[in-house]
Amino acid sequence: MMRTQVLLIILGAAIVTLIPRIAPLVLLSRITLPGRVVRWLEFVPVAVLSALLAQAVAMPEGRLSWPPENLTMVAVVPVLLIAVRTKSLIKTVAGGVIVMALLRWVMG
Amino acid sequence: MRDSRQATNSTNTPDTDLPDARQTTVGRGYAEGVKDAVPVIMGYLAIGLAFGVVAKTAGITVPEVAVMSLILYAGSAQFVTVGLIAAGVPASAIIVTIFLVNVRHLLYSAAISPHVRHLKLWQNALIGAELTDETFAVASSRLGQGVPARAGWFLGINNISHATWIVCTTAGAVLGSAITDIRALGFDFALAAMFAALLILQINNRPTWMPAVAAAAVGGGVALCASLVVPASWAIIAATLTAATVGMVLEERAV
Repeated sequence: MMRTQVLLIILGAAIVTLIPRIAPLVLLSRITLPGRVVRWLEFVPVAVLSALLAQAVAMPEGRLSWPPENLTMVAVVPVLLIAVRTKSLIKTVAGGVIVMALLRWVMG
Repeated sequence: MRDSRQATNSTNTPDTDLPDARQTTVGRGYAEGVKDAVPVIMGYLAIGLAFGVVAKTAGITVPEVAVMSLILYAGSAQFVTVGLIAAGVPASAIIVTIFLVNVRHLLYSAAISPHVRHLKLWQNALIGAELTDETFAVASSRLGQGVPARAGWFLGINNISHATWIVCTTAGAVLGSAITDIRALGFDFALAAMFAALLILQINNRPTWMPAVAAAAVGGGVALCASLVVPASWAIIAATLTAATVGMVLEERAV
């Protein structure tokens, strides 16, 4: 079953989401950005990743929490070591999932 | 990863003049993109199922979940939407809230834009339409390693990630409470592990690592401090603006 009201909400939310996703890609790719702006944009991935990682690790349930409740904060330590050591995305993710499963198993 | 140690010098100017990148057809690079998206798929598996279960519990129907994942396709925004619908919040307020939650995509879209100047407008629009935190993280990392920005490669990353999201969220809604605890398997940690790995790879890609490490420290700190006073998605914007500026200024001084 599909309620009209819900469908309208989803449509509206989808439209206001598409605008910030598409507009810069379409507009900025047509103009030559100043070198400094490009260099700034090159730092956006590091900046975004550090922010996403900090939130994922420190507030996995949407609010700040600490071990032993927050096992993500424990698991991130070996995961960072694996990442530095292997420089491999897939090995780090696979290792992380295993570390987390083991932690949960040990902590009961 | 196959070539994480190569081509670290491509970060200064996007390779828009490569003849290889100019003759882009949609098919080329597609399989490569699908392969690069594997960590995203692992992460979406857990979060997608969890979202389906949560949505069903909040009274959202299976077709509604499927349509939401098809046309909205935004993890945190979908959780927020479901919560607000369940709370009986008016449609207009929900839509404004979702815009505020998702406005951070402006930064992702802008950061990709210098790499895709050689692509057609409709291709850029299509690439942007399926941009998420996770697909941006993967795509920007690979671009930083010197992977050519082919339309087919972007579509490979985007389509498989989006398809996984639709299938897993819908499956979660169908199975509902039959899924007892997917967390026990550790898959809910896949995205955090992916962000950690990509951050390390990104820092590794920079000509000097110190400005990038400083930027990451600032970004993480601001993201946490800001999320105590503003919603998490705004904290990401504040952290990105601050950390990217710190990184750029420090690198200008170092080089």
